[in-house]
Amino acid sequence: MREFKNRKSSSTWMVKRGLFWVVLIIILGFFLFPPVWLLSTSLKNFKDAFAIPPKIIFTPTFENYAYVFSNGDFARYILNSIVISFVSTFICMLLGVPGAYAIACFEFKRKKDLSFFILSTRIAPPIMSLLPLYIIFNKLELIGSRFPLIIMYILMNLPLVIWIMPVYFREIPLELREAAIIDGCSELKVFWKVMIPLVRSGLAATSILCIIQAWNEFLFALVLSGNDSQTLPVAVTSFMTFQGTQWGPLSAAGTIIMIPMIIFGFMVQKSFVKGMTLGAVKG
Amino acid sequence: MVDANNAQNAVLMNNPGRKKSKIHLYFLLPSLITIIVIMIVPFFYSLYITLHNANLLENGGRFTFNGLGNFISFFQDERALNAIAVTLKFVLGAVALEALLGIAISLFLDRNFKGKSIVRSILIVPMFMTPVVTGLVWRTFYDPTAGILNFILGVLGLGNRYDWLGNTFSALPSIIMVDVWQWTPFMVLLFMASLDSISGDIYEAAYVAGASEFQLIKYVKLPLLVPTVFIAIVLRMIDCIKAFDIIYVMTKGGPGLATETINMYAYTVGFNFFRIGYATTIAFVFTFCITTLLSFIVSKLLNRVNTN
Repeated sequence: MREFKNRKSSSTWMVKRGLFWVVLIIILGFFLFPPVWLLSTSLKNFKDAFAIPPKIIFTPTFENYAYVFSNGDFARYILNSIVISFVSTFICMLLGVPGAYAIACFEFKRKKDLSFFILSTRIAPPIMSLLPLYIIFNKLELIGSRFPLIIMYILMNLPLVIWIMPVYFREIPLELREAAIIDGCSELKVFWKVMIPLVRSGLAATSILCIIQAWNEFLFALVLSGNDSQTLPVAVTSFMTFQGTQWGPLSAAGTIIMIPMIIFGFMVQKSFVKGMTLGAVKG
Repeated sequence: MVDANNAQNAVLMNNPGRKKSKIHLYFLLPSLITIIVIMIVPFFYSLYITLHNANLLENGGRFTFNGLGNFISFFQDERALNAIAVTLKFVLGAVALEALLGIAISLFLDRNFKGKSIVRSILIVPMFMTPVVTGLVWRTFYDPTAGILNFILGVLGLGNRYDWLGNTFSALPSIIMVDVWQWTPFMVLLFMASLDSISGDIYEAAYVAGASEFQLIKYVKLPLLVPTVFIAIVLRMIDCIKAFDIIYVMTKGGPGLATETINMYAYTVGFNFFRIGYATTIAFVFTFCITTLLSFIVSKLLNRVNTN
């Protein structure tokens, strides 16, 4: 609209427009290149994967994927990742959503301090809680089971839930809550029957964000998991061996780890900005 | 809207029947107890550990009292000093680049064109890519013999023998680049959202006043973007300080100590040397400084956002 000032500039407008698309494609190419490269390497055979100059046209093969799954452990790592991220997220929502509701819909003393304290637990670098908890889990002989990781991911995601969910609760008009209370609903019933159904989309988006965080986490998983509880990000590093790195299978494993999270990412796209800025920027 | 809500809130809160209500406590308790049990207890336990010599490989892992010995060692430890410097360089370098690129790209995209929502979707991709996998992919790019980066530079005639990650000078910038790749889109999406919320009236007024594209950016868009830029920078710093995965898979802190951040150093001391007491001290001092500093900044920022 702004460009149409007069007819004389229409040819410069064309040039500008063309330049815009060129730059746009370069930017998007830069950001899309690594995942696309990973995907294509995973479909190449050993020779094509290391061809210089890189082969753009090649016959896709699934041999890397077959190799990854030929080792029975990989399926178990997938299962570990799924169980750990989903269970921790479920518990985290169960614990965190009522807290978020209290912060959003009640007024009480020192509320600001409290919510700020919860946020500060998210600011602290994870290595801090990892070391003492490692000793505790070690003494309790829990290292090697899925339990420590589930605990750590609850710890990691709880502040996130308590900070994101109030954004959704605050969008509900207060009259609704008031009316339900006047109608004689108990507080618990108001929460469960009135509020929760109204924040369903927020619940979904927040859970997905938590699952992604837990799925992608590496440091806790590296330290606290044994062979039986290893998650995918740790498992993928095992393709780097002393004999060298098996890039083909590694790319296949990397693709398997990456794809579900990117799909989840698309699903929460709309509420992403709101979520990641804890409501400070409206998305 | 917000004011109306606040007024209603006030009415609801001042209702004498509800004032003494402790209902909110029941809703808060589950999360509070969890945080206290799995956060505060370990915190005090780690304080206890820092005062002890605790090596999992010696004395059968028994703790022996060491007073402030660990803290004294920390302040005399040159490797720790180096780790602090590397962490600062990494965080400041990465976040500054991300912010600048983020501003540039979001201003560039701030116009009407077909496929804007597709562009947004594409920008989501890097952020959700598992960091370990991201690090591994970039490691192949940086590979001195088979890497695509050297290949491209070779085609352009700029030489093709650079050992990006094996060289003390280029290792840290190469890792910063990966963080920039992964998180610049975060900045772009935030800034785009912020630019979209600028009302059309302002543009109208600027257009009537005959503002050029450049003036529009300088006097309208950039000033309105500033608060969001601050928020984005603080949020990125919080996460950037935690970065461990990409460094671990790309260099493990090397070559030498060129990319060893505090996180990486504490990890190495704790889980490679098993000097848990000292590792906890490193993490403790680090966390204390970072949390105090960043919490202070965040609280100031939140107050500003809330008053606006």
